[in-house]
Amino acid sequence: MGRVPGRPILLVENSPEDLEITVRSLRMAGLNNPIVHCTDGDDALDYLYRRGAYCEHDASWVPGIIFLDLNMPGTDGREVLEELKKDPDLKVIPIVVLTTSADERDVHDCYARGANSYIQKPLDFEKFIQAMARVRDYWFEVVIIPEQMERAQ
Amino acid sequence: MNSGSTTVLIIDDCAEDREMLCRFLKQNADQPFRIIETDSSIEGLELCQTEHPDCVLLDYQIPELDGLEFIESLSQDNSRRFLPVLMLTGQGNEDVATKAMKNGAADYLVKGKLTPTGIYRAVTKAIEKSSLLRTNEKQRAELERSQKELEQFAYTASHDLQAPVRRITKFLELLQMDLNDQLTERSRDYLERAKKGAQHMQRFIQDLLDYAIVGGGSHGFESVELQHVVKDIVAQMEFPLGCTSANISVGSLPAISGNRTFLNQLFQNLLGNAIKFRREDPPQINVTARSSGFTWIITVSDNGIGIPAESFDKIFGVFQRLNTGSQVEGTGIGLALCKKIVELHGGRIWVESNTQVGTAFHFTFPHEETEKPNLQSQQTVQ
Repeated sequence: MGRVPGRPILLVENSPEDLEITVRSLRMAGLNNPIVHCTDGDDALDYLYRRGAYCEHDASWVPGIIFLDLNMPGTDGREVLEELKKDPDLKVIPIVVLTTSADERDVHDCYARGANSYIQKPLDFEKFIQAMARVRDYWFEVVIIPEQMERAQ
Repeated sequence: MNSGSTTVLIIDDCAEDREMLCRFLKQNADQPFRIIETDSSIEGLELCQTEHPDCVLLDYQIPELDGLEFIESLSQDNSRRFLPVLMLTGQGNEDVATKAMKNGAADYLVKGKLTPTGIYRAVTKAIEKSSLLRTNEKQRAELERSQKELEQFAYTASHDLQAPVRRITKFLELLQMDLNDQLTERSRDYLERAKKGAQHMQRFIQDLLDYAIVGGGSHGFESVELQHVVKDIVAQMEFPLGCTSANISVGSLPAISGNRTFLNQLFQNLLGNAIKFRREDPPQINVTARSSGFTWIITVSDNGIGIPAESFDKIFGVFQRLNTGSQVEGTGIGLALCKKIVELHGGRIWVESNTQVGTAFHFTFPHEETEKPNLQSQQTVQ
């Protein structure tokens, strides 16, 4: 299965239909990694810092890649991105922004904060699935992602 | 002027002058003035607060706060901003008077030349003018507020409406995918229609959102090469079914100061319309620019079905669609958006059309402010 071992994929997605399509697209594209879903930014940060409901988790739960929605209630994707890219341990995890927004400021701000990719969710269903197949090829076949670190603490 | 009596405040440290002003004012008033006097400008300022005068007659050379300082203090008080101050100067002091006017005095009167009629006229004129200014300011603020509110409403409504519509579309698509083999021709048709309806609504909301965003708040302006904007649109143009090619000729276009996103929407709408409202023959579209005075006139013309003259006024309104039949898709917001975008850039838009020949949209933009010596905009481009 390419260069990414079976690390979990973290999907931070507020919209149930986009979650459904993303998961199905990844599965249809032949990806078998565990997929973890967080419904918003706060949930995602709890997961990544292994606190709250996730305090029992060990390092095997650290995701190999994060798909991050931007517009979410509470802590939104921009804030999650900013916090993760400031964290010396977590910043190595590739973050792919997956959003309906095509706003230039969003694109600019996300890269400025260290996003590794910015993808606008295609409105068209077929195109969404195609795009996710390419995302899978790129992130799970082509690129090399750092071997997962043991967290410092 | 206020209903009831008009209050005039006289501020002059010379008692004889005050007495004369009072006398003059009393002589001429159809309706008597209520007159308040003081010899101190500091006390005068206080009286402005407590007595709500409609007009102030102020001796320029008063000790304590002089005329200019008095006006300055008054202008800092928002509620007294429109209170007219008539400056009283000595003869040969016109320089001082001009300075006072520049700083916000309503008018000036030369002490040696005062007449009852003159002073009455000056007072009533100043009060009328300030009352008009005040009404104007109030209406402007009111308009601005309601405009902002409306835009905020449209933005929020569109945003919140988009999510559920998107949800409908996507779950219909998922359903269609799951049931693919089991669907009858009829149920497939139903699903398609449901999807089309939801997609149309989504487009509609998106257009409404675009319309609300233009003009809501401040937008960054930069130098935008219209040539690049149009070339990019043409390169990425998606042609609708039944229209495989279009001949789009783009003349030399200037750079203007504007918002790139909005200008992109403007040309996208106009070029899109030119293709949408085509005849059987392949569309021929021309985009040209010419300079007239300090203004660019841009023209997007086509050989399409044209617009009847009686509809020229209607097309720039929101939700106006001339083709109500199902042959042409659209939401009726496109040209209203174009108008708003052009006006945001300080220009205007109009249409010239003939159902035999086609349509030409003309719109103007001011020249870019900082003209460089060899900038394109100095020559007339055809």
